[in-house]
Order: sequence, then C-alpha cells, then structure tokens
Amino acid sequence: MSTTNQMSGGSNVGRRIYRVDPSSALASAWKVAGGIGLLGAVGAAFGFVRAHDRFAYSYLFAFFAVLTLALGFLFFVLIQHLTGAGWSVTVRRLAEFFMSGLVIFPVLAIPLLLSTASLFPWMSHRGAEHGESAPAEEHHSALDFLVRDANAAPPAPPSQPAVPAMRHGGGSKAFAEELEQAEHAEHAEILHGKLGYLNRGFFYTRAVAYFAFWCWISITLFRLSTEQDKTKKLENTVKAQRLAPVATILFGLTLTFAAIDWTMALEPLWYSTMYGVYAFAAGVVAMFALLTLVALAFRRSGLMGNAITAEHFHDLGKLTFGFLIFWAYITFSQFFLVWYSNIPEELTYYHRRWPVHGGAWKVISLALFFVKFVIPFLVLLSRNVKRHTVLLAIGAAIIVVMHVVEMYWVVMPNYASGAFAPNWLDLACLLTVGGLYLAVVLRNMTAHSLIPVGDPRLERAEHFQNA
Amino acid sequence: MSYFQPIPELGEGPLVAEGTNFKVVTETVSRVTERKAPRGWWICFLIALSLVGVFTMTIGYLFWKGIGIWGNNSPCYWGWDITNFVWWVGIGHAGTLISAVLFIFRQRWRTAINRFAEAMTIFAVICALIFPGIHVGRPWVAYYMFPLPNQMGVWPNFKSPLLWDLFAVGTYFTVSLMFWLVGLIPDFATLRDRSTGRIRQMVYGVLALGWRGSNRHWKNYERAYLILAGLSTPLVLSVHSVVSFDFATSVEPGWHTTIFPPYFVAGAVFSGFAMVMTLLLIARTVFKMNHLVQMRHLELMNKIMLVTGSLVGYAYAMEFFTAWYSGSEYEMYVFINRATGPYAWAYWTMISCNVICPQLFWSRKLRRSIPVMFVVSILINIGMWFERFVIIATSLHRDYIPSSWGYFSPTVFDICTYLGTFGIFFTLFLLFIRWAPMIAIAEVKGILPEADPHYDPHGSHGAHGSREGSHGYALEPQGAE
Repeated sequence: MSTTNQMSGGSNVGRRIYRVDPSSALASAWKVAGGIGLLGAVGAAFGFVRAHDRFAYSYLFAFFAVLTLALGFLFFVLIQHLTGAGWSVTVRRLAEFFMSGLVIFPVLAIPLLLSTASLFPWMSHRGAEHGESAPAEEHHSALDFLVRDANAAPPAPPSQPAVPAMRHGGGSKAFAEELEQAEHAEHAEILHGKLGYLNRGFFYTRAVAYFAFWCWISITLFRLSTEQDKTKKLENTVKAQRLAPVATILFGLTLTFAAIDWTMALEPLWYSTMYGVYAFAAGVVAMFALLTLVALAFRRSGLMGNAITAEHFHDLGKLTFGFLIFWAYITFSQFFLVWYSNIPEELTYYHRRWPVHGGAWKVISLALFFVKFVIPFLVLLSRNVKRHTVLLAIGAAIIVVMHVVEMYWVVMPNYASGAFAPNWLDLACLLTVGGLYLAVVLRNMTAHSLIPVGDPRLERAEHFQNA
Repeated sequence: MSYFQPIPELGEGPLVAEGTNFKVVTETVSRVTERKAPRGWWICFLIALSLVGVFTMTIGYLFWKGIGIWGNNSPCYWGWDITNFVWWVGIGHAGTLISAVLFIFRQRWRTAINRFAEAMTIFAVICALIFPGIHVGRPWVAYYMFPLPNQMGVWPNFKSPLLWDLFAVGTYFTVSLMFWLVGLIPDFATLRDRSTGRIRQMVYGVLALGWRGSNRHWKNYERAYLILAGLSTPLVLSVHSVVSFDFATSVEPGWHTTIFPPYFVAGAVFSGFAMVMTLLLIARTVFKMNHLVQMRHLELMNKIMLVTGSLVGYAYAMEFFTAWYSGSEYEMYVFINRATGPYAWAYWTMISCNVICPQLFWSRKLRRSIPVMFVVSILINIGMWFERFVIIATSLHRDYIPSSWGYFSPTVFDICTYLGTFGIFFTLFLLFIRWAPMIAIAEVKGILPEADPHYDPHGSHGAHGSREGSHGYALEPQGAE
C-alpha cells in the first residue's frame, strides 16, 4: 500500500472524477470507430450485392468473433455479481462498457439474418417440421452442399488408403457417382430428421430470443451500475446480485444454442456435445485478454489514477492464464475424443481443418495450439510478468488476435470448397462489426464514469492486495 | 479499515463467530485428539472396522474364485467395479477444489472445511484405487497396470486410457497427499507443543518436521503451499477428465461424447461437496464446532452444489439434445433406452437426485436448514453413484446386436465389495479425526481479528488502531438469494 494512500486515509472516492475529458481525443474516438465501421459497411454492402455467398461467410465470421467477445464481457460482469467480488470493482466498469455494446448486435445481425440461405442450406426446407417429406428434386438442390461434404469428408487414415482411392479415384466413374448418390441420400435422410430444430421459423425465433435476453440483461446491469454512480445506493448492488444467478443460467443456455445455431449448423451433419462449452471458453479467454489490454491502456492514459494497480493486473493476468488453460483443455478434449474414436461422421470437422486443401488450415490449426496457447502460456506463467505490463500486454494481445483467427478457422472452412482463400470482404466485415460495436462502447465510455464510483465495494478494490 | 468490514446489507459477514479467538480455536480443535474418544466414535469405528473385515473376506474370495462372483456378464463387462471406482475418485475432487482452487481464488471461508475435505480426498482415492487393482480378478498380474513389460516382454498399451488412469490418479494421489501433509505441519507442531506424553510428543514432533513457527518457516511454508495449490489446480481437471476418457474414447453410443471431460469434472466436484457436507454436518454436531464451521460456510457449500448440480444438469440436457440432433439411431436409442428402458428407474433416480434435488437450494431458507442439507447431500451422493451406473450399465447392456442384449444385476459380492470400501474410508477417516487436527488451526487463526498485526482488543483508536490494510475481518462475499 502506498504511503500516499495511507496519509489520505485511503479514500479516493468523491475526490477524483474518473471521466473522459470531453475535449480529449478519446472523447471523439467513438466517431472514428463509427466512421471505420461505416466505411467497412460500404465495402460489405458491395459484397452483399455482388458476392453474396462470400459475404455471408465473411460477415458471419466477423459477427461471431465480436459477439463471443461481447458475451465474454457479459459473463465477467455476471460472475462478479454472482460471487460478490470486491477486487474487481475498479475494472468492472470497463467490462460493463464492452458489455453495453451488446445492444447493437440485433442491428448488426440483420445482414446475417438476410443471408441465412447462403449459410445454411437446410433453411430451404419449409414445412418439413410437420413431417411431410419435400419432393426429391428440391432435396437435391437444397442438399447440393452435401456432395461437397462427401468429397471433402471421407477421412483417409494412412493405413487404409485403398478406400478413398476406390471411392474417388479408382473404380469406374459410374460406380463413384452411384456411391456418392447413395451417400447423398443417406445424408439427406439424416438431415431430414433434424429439421424439427434446423428450420427457418424456429431459427429466427431463437435468434430473437437470444438478442432479447442479451439486450435486456446488458441494459439492466449497465443501468444499475451507472445509476449507482450518482445515487450511491446499496440497492443497486443488491438488485444486480439477485439478478445474477438466473441470468447466468440463461446466459449459458443462449450462448450454447447461439453457437450451435450460427456455427455448428454450418455443417449440419456434424455434432459435438462440447460445442457450447467451447464457444464459451473461447469467448471468455479472449475477453480477459482484451480487458487486460483495455485496463492497461487506461492506466497508461492516466485516467484511472491509482484505481487500477499492479494487484489488479496480477489478477487479470491470472484469470487470463487460467481461462487460457481452460480453453486449451476444452479445445483439446473435443479434438482428442473425435480424433481418437475415428468415427467418419465426426471426423469431418477436423478433416476440413487439417489435411485437405494443401494444408493451409492445418497451419492455422497448429497455430491455434502453439501461438494461441503455448506462447501466451509461457509468457503469462510468471508472477512478475503479470504485474509488469509490457509482456502482459504482449501475451494478451496474442490471445485477442488469435481469437479472431480462431473464429475465422471455425467459420471459413465451410465456405465453398473449403479452401483457405482470404478475401477483402473478411476485413470489410470485421471492420463493420468491430467498428460499429466499438462506437457504441466508446460512446458509453465518454458518457459515464470510468469506474463505478458509487459501488459499496469500491474502496476495497482500490486497496486490495494479492495476499 | 472500514472498507474491509463486512457490508451486512450485501449479505457479508465475519467468518468466525463473535468471541472466537486464538485460544478457542486451538482448544476446540486440539482437544478432540487429546481427550478420550467418545463412545460414539468407538461405535462408528468398530462398525467401520467390521466392514473392512467384510471387504477383506470378499476380496479374498474374489481372488480365489475370480470376478465371476460379481454380476458382470456379457455384454455388461463392466458393472459396479468401475462405477465404484469413478464414484470414489469423484468424491475426492471436492478436497482438491476446496484446498487448491478456492485457495487460489482467495476464498478464505475455505479454512473451516479444507483440512477435512483434503483428508477425505486421500481416503476416497485410496478406495478408488482398489478397483482397477481388483477388477481384472487376477491380483498376481496387478503390475499390468503399471508401465512395465510382462514376462513376454510386452509393454502395456500406452494408447489405452486405462493406463493413463493410473498416471492420472497416481499423480493426483501423490500431490494431494503432499499438499495435505504440508498443510498439516504447523498444526502438528501445535499438537506437539501441547503434548504431555513422551511418545505423543515424539510422534507429533517428527510429523511437524521441526517446525518452530519462525518467520523463515512461515515464508517457506506459504511458498510451498502456493506451489502445491498451483500444481493441484490442473489436477482437479485432469484426473476426472482422464477417467472420462475411459469411456469417451470408445465408440460406444452413450459413452463417446465430447462433453464428457468437463461434465465428469463438474459431477465429481458436485459429489465431493455432497460427501464433505454429509461428514462435516456430523462432525460439527458431535464435536461442537458450530463457531468455526458456521451456517455461512454450509450455505456457501450448498451454493456450490447448486452450481455444480446445474452444470451436471446442463450436460445431461446437452447429451440428450445432441443424441437427437446427431441423427444417429444408435445414439438416439441409447438415450431413449436410458429414460424408458429397463434401467429407467436408475435414470430417473439420477435425475431426481442430481438435478431436481439441489434446486431446493434456490431457497435461502432451505439452504440454511441443517436437516434439509443433510438429506440433500446424501441424495446427491446416491444420485452421483447412479449417474456412473447409468452411464456404464445402460450403454453396455443393449449393444448393437439385440440377440446379445442383457441386464446387469449385482450379486451379494458386488454389494459387499462396495460396502467394504465404505469401511476402509470410514476407518481411515475416523482415525484421522481422532489423531490429526481436523480443522486447519493455523489457517483459521489467519482469518481472526487477532491475526491483524494492528489488532487492538480494547478498541482504542490510537496511532495504529485505524491503520488500513487491516484484514481484521476476512470477508465472505455472498451471491444473491
């Protein structure tokens, strides 16, 4: 504890105003972010018209990458209320700003929801949930993507090279076609069984439900917290704490099914019970890394005074480190169980991301392990690093960047032939979603105090030590 | 220091009852080991010891006859043996979670229960380790479990999860034991210093490793403790994940599902907390430790059970949903068969005990009622046993070929083996309670107001009286109702 604090009686409250100076560059940063977003949107709109299929995938990638982060921040705020945490009060507002950006996602989702036909071929099966089977012709057109699957999918274990060779290379062409059609029909039948869940009406209903919940909870928690800045009422904390348990459960369910709907269903025949947990782990580790970076930036700017100390960075570093291991654990377990059991219908997911198409995806798959996990793991292991900021920032930055790469890796192998082919639309969409989201976040930052000055546990957070 | 005071409006409060001081803590905990054992202890001990006898006889007969004496059959090649193994390993998890994970998360309320839970971990893992040793029925080749070549020079299959199990559980046991013993050092020293007899003094003296309570000792001790906590934390995840691999790496519908590792871990913590709760409630009442183990602690444990119980419920739901979503008829069949087939009774026991029961803890009143939490903790233990049984038996008993379908019924030897492990567990546990400090004396003292270097018993606000940084009250944050 610093001498200054001791002499001042330990209270910073009421004497310092943690606000963005309206004349500073930061105060107008939201306009810059919004401008970048709009610029990206122009490019994306061009793509929407001219290269709709590609746009759909690029946009989904950008949307999902930013959404998982924003939901990570929602989780952070929820868990602080759920546990009644004291240490984190001084950084909680920063997370709340990023959480508050969730309100723009219903708007950002519009281009996505208009492009579902390009993303999810099962969308065209209307009325199938009533059990009437669609005409065979329609089946065929709607399920063309399955042929693509069948080409890319059959895993070729080195021990049995004969099987795929016979299927695609050797044997007569007629035989190969016959086989393909048989497989196709089988896949169509499996898919048909899923249409009770994977259908247009239910998909949109669910999407509306997710957004309704996310907007409601983020607006409510943000309001309770910012209101308290002025009123200093304990009730707001009590209310937030009461809301947290049920909200956490709903958070878990909405995140799980959103991940299933928007990314797992890109490959409608593939399934993994772990998928919701995987999306959660990815979002949360990236969130902690980004929160660390933002807190570092704000501390450097001097706007935070002494409110964020080495102790807080130590804790943020520990949480980033811990959730990085959790992410690695979940990701590895999912991969490992699929790889070990070696069942064709499950392998497709990793097959797309490993040996096919010249191995570009394989490089990214390996990078997810070495760059997203091993390097930050080694960097963040040390206590000194977590308390001293340069290396901490590097470790956190790697994780944030790799989060975006990972979401690219999740979405893009499903596009067209699945080849690794970056497109300018990817960047345009990322700028659109990221820019507009940040505009909301930064706008809120200029309008409210940067730390929750009315929180009853604020002083405890200011003086907290990693004992 | 006002900001370190609990805020009652937010549900915070001190972690020990008013009037508890260093002396009270030392006395309360140490006297259990110093006085003559109460009659109740002897009764329990003799019952437990008799069960050990039952166990020994059962195992002797098992080794004589082979595992045909159990209910295992074709297609149920695994039955109660592996169920018990997984269950016991799971019980152990609470100890590691409380001692390592909660330590790292600075949850100081753990001090009231950690010693207890750690001891339970070790004894539970001992019980668990028996089963892989005996379930092959050939004790003379037990070394097959180890990475040693057999008489033909053949090594065990390193790709087999059963071998990883040995590494995982073995590591877990070793680290848990070290963690427990390191934590015990200052408390053994306390017992040594209070000893009146020569033998007692020598034994505790050896166990205390020459502890003098010097600054240097404390510094090394705390560093070692933190390192061991750091090492134990990944073990909480790894052990039960590897156990789940025993099932999930197979291609058996109902076993092969990617959520198994975290789902098993959540279930393990869940059952472990339930077991800690059951034992703690008894010990707390018998040895009158209400001021150390307060309602606050019990309530927090109930909340953890509610969380982990709900996580387990999430996993059940995801499995069911994905079985349907997979479109695979075998996956679907296994789950429909679980809920409606011959083992439906076991499945619904599992659901009611594990998912529905803990939901009672949403109510603050029920969460704070000792009878309710006692009953619920036992039901959870039963439910978690059934969870493992359901996974193992329902997935095996109806395989791909209907002509080979079967049913697992336990024999008296299955039951005796299982009861026998209870005997081992309780024998060890009762010995622990009798001879070692069952609450971490030094750690509980650390959260007392007196532990604050600026503690002023007379309340005068002199130069030091109002210095900040005082952790006079360790706070217990508490979630919403």
